[in-house]
Amino acid sequence: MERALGASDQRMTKSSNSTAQPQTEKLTESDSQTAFAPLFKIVLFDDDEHTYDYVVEMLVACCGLSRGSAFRCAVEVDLSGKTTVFYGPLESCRRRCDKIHAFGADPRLPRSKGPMKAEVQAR
Amino acid sequence: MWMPDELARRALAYFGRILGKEIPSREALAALPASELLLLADKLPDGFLPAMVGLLKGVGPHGFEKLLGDHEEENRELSERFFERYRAMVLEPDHSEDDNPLEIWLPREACHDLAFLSTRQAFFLRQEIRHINEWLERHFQLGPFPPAGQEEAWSALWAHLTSA
Repeated sequence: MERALGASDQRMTKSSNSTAQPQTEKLTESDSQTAFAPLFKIVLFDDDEHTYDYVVEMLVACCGLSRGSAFRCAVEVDLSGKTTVFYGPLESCRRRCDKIHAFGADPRLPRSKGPMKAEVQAR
Repeated sequence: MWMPDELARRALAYFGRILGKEIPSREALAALPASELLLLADKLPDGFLPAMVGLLKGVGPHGFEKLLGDHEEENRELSERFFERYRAMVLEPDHSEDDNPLEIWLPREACHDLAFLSTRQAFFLRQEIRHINEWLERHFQLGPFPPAGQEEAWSALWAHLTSA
């Protein structure tokens, strides 16, 4: 799963001055925004209008999960009623959530009339 | 899959015999330690795995956590084996590249119901253009449409059906 870089992943820019002068660490504005960007997640909710096959196919296409991971999410949403399928920055979550909602009905079930319900939540 | 009570009772009795201890209820099944639950799954024939999962449904998130082996390394192998077998049981077999999903899931006769057909738009647009062209030609004598012409093909199908 895609994750936003945490503060520990950010490398602060250092002066190239190699003298014994104390080096000043600077955090650029974009570094700062990334480092402190709150993480979000996409939660997928269970219903009886979608098959395991649909959930796997949809999560591979919309969230970039492997088939194995997508299948585990399908089992979890079936058993527990919901599952987290993606973690990331807000915009990334919104984009993928829109893809889930645009994935449409499950062609395998005649009674399926639309996509699964998913929403972006703060972690 | 939600199992009727009588069937659930028989399945639990069978599971109990396999495990060598009484499992009187769904809650008791869900309360088994992860290692025992996975051992039970390992001993069950493939065809009973959906029933076992069905019995764990609705007992809360710990049912799924136990199938994951409660994230204990000692349970990992059993958990991996469970998911592999269960996946083979419940997912449809891989179709060959030559299988046309539209032929499988969008029968010609269903296209007369425009309300139903509209719910299949996203599915239609996801298909490869070669499958769309093959399907439209066979059933509606429409096309062929160029690569990336899914939207155009959908509009042509819709226009064809609404003008008929």
